[in-house]
Amino acid sequence: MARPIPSESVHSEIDELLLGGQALTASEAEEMFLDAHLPDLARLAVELDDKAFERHEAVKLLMSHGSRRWEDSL
Amino acid sequence: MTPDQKLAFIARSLQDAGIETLVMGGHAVRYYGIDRNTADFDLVTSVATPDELRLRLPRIEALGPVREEPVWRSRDFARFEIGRLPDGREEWLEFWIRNHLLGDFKSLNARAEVGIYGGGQVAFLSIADLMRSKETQRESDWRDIALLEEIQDARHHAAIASKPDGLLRLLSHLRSRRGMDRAIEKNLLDDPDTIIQAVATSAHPVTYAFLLPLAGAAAPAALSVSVEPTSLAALSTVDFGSPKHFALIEICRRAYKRHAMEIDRADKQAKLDQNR
Repeated sequence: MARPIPSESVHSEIDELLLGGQALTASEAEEMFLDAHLPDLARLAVELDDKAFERHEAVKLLMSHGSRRWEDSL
Repeated sequence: MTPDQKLAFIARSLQDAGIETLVMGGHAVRYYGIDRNTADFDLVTSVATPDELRLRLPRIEALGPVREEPVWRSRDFARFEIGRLPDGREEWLEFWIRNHLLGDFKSLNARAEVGIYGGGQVAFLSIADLMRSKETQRESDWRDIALLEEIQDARHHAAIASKPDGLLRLLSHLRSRRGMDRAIEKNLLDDPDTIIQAVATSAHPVTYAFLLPLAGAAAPAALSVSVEPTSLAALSTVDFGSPKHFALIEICRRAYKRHAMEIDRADKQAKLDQNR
């Protein structure tokens, strides 16, 4: 089984996408990171407890790029 | 004449000339409630070939002179300039004869929605077909889809009281986080039998991901795109409505989008290869 993504390496991997020229903007680099790690992210939901999952940088990133909540309309 | 009125005028002129069309694109997005400026009139038509359009359009006096613009999808799509806006931009009338993301005209027409727009009765793609038509490589189309998903869910929520199958329709088509939050808030997910029916009739992987933690052994009869095994396994273990559940829904949403973008890209590439 693949190793889980370390929380502390998420932003350095995104930086590499930018510095290496694969992404032109930070937002694009974040999107690329998320799309490249979808099964890894799903695995985190099984392997981490609730608090560790919510604190993980990749999960924070996923949810910040995700859908609007109902409360957002208030 | 406003762009909305012009669209209604064009739709009526085409109908009077015996050309069946449904509105898609920016005006359809506007019709369903998203504020949008658009200078293009995008239609899907039952006309069988671009040649038939070339023959029939110039005969429609109400449209005035039309100028065809060459396009690379020349067997499936045709584009005509029908005038200029005050700022000098061209006004385009665009016809899809065959759209790789949509079914045949007859089935689209059977699901179409007719509504008042620009002062006239205009036939639009159904909101579900409109979303499907936007599953392209363009990020802006996916932003439209996200808003249309919320609108579709809100419409289904509003129809619960008036339609006998309203709740099942809502749950089996849930697509947005806001629609889901509202269903939870209104305790609409409490009946296990309804959940099982909704799962069985759901076709979109995001809907399945919403319902899966409540589904037990129930499974969709046919999903448009399967859920990736790691996500499927995780969804069957998480608590319904938990942060993990919502994160997994977003994972499924992303996976679906990437899959759809790849299909669109492959279709474009195949068409370009044919043209070489």
